[in-house]
Amino acid sequence: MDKAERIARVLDKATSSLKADPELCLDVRAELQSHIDDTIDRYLAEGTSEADSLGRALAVFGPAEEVGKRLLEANRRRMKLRALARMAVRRALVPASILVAAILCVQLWHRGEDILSVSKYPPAEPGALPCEPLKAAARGAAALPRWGPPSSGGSQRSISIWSSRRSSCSCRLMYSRITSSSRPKVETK
Amino acid sequence: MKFSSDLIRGVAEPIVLRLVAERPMYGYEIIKDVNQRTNQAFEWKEGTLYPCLHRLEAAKLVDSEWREATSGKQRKYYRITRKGRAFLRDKVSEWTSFSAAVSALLLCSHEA
Repeated sequence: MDKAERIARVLDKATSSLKADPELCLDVRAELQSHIDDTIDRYLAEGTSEADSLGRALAVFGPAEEVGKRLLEANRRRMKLRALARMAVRRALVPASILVAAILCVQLWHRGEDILSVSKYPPAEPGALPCEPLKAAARGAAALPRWGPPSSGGSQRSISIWSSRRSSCSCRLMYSRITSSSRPKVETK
Repeated sequence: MKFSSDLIRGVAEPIVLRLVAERPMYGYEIIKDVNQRTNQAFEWKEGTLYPCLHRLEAAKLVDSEWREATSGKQRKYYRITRKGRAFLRDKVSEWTSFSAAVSALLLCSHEA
């Protein structure tokens, strides 16, 4: 078992009684961890080996269960008060959020009615919008050669050639996808 | 000389309050200070100090904050509150009277 694991085990035992209040539990755990670290540092500074320093620091800490009991006794009242406060907040939060949602809904409803009834833009007159550039672009697009089978006027043979070209194209695409997915991957890290 | 845990528990709170009244201190520093000042007569451990600190904090006699120490480590510092100072004054005067009374009884020259 390594150093961190041994310390964690002692801290688990010492703070298990405070688990009902996770925030307090973490706070006390960090405080005790800092204390054990300081004790280890002191023994190391005195020239004790790392393994002995850890052993002595944990021995000085005392029985973790006993420390846990005392910590629970000292924090019991505070834990109760915090639990009550949390419960009160939870109970108040649900009705408050429903109320806020209802108010927002009503406001949005009224605003929606206003938008529908009154528009800030005047109605457009027929022929007011210039359509000439759009029409010119559409004519230009129609004049370009089409990429695909001849729509009309093409013989049955040219349609079948186009169709076979297209299918061979998709076969090639599918093949390249399969080969790329089955290719072995090389880790660069 | 080892003191009984009951005796220590009775005086632990005023002692801790007295120390944090001098300057904000963290747990390890308090234990080190207590053991040094009493010439190792008191050998406080975590199980004595932290419950005591938490009782004082719950009673709002001290407050705490996590701060970075000069070494760069994060430590929880405790400092006395106004309520704590008033409590300490009362406890010091109570202790003075109490110890004088106990001494008068225990250290008297009358034979039992």
